[in-house]
Amino acid sequence: MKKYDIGVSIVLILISIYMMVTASGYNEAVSGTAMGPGVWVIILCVIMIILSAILLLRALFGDKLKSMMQKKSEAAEAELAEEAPAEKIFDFKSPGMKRLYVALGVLAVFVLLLELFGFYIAVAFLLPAIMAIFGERRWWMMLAVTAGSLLFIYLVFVLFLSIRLPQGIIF
Amino acid sequence: MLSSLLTAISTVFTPFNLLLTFVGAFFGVFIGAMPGLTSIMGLSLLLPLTLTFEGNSGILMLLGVFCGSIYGGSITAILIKTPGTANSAATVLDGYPLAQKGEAAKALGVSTFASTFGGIFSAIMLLWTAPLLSKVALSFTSPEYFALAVFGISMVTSLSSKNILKGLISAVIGLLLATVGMDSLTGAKRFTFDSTYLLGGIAMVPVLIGLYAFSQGLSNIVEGNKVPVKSKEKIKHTFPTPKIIKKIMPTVLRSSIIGTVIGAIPGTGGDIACWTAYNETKRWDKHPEEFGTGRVEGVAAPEAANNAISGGALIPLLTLGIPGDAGTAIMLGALMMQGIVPGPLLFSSEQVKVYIIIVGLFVANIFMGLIGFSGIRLFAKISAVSTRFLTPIVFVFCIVGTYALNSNVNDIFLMFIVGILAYFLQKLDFPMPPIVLGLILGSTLEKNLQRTLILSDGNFSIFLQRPIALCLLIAAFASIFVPPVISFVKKKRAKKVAVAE
Repeated sequence: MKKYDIGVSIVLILISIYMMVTASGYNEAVSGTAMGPGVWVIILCVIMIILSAILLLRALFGDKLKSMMQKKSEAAEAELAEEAPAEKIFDFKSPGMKRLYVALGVLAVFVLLLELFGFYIAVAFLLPAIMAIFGERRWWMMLAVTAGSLLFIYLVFVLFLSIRLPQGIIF
Repeated sequence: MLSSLLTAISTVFTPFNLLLTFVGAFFGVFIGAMPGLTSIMGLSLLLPLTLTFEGNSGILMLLGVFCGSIYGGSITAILIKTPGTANSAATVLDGYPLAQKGEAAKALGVSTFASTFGGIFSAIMLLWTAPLLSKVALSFTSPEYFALAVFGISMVTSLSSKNILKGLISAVIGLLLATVGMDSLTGAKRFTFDSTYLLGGIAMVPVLIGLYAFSQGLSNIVEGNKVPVKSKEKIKHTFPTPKIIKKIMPTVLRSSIIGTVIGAIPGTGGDIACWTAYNETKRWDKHPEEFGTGRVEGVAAPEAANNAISGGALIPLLTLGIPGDAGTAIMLGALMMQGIVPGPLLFSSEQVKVYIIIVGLFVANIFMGLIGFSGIRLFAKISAVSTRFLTPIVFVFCIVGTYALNSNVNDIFLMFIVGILAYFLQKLDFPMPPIVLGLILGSTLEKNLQRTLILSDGNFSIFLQRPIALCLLIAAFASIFVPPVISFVKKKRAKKVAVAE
């Protein structure tokens, strides 16, 4: 968890600094009100920087502080040992994460298909692709679920609720 | 008041509105019964759909989802020991042992009865207390509203997060997201990067669907296919006998009160209510040791309490405009998108609309009961659908729901991005409810702070001169800082004891 906390807090601090600098420009444009359009953003950014800094410091020095306070008592060691296995939040090489990478790839293709060919063709690709990621291999099952979902969406959303669905450039 | 109530009743009891409430409740029970699909996910997926209906109809449908999804979770809790939502976690304790004894029908009957009673009880409480509370709230001005919004966000943050620091960061992320777009007071463009898409601010629906539905789908993919447990019980669903009703009535009544009160406190939710009610019932019982072995009271207590949340949570929402949890935050968003601004003024300016919501809650609970008593077999079967089919279908509904609102493909991309970020943030223990609350209450907070500072000529000490605002701000700070201090003191004490031994 620690290394992710360090990463997240640094990213948040950088974003907050960027937003704060941008927001201070907003106030110059408008004058005469008690609170310019940038003030609220700046307040939030300051709070965010403080919170992220605490998170960062805790991730960097939290354990040291703990062991200093407890003078390496047995309790502290036990606590540290307990926390150790929790370090592995993302196992980037696990089969689950690999499925996630494939799914993100499928989504990228979906976006492309959506832009080019519109909703129906893109979804006709997305549904079986995600089922395949889950290990479904029966083609007739994939066909049935895809056809059923598309029919349901057409009947309920397009015919009954008259919602327009995304159209592609080509169709 | 009476004429508004009658108008509201005649509006709710039109065939179309009744149908929508029914469909909402049905969908809600379905979502609730499905382990892995939460009530908030159901609400956010259906929200864009409800906006296509005019006026009140959409709100009625959402009320149906709201009630149905809380109840639905109990079906799987009893039958397969898997609560469909966190609201039914306590129901497992006595519900599943009952099912194992071959008394699943009895347990389901009791849970349906208790849920319906709890829901209707809380609707009556809402009808009774909301107008009274709104009169008090009429004296509120911008400093009070600012303090109230701060209070709401801090309560949700403190109660929904394992790590309060990360909860606070989540809340500020939500608040910062809410600053994107045109500032309502000065008209200045903020963080729009010269795109017209961002001019109106970050659209709420794609963010909600991304946070709650799409990220859940991604998490399903990482976890892989789960083979659902099929219940072997033959379910004959029966209405509880008068004898059982007499036996559980005190429990149901007490739990309904607990649920309504807990629901009315911002930041709490069905999970807290169901555990409190269960523990209280156990404490009051003559044979507490029998709990966990299949006592009907152990099913009735959490189910009455978690459904009583629905009416309780609407009390601060309608009277003050402060949502109590992520679910009511979505209701608040839906109301605002329909042009209804909850708050004390709503009771004087648009009384009929308030009563439509309250009457709708009644009807939604009754439908929920009817669906429960008649369709339980169907839902028990449905809950056995594998995630390998469920997840892709959820994805498609995320896409349709997101697009339906504004017919803008950019919304779909925004939903994807938010969903992917939310998946990683959740893994890192950043809670989602504070983000939603921050996003929804962000502009309320800023607007009221601006107005307050105009009132006081830029002087922040105005908050010290307003007793209600000051109390709320102190309570907000306390909700954030007291829990960590308590846990720190407890740890110290435990260590002292350990050392002494």
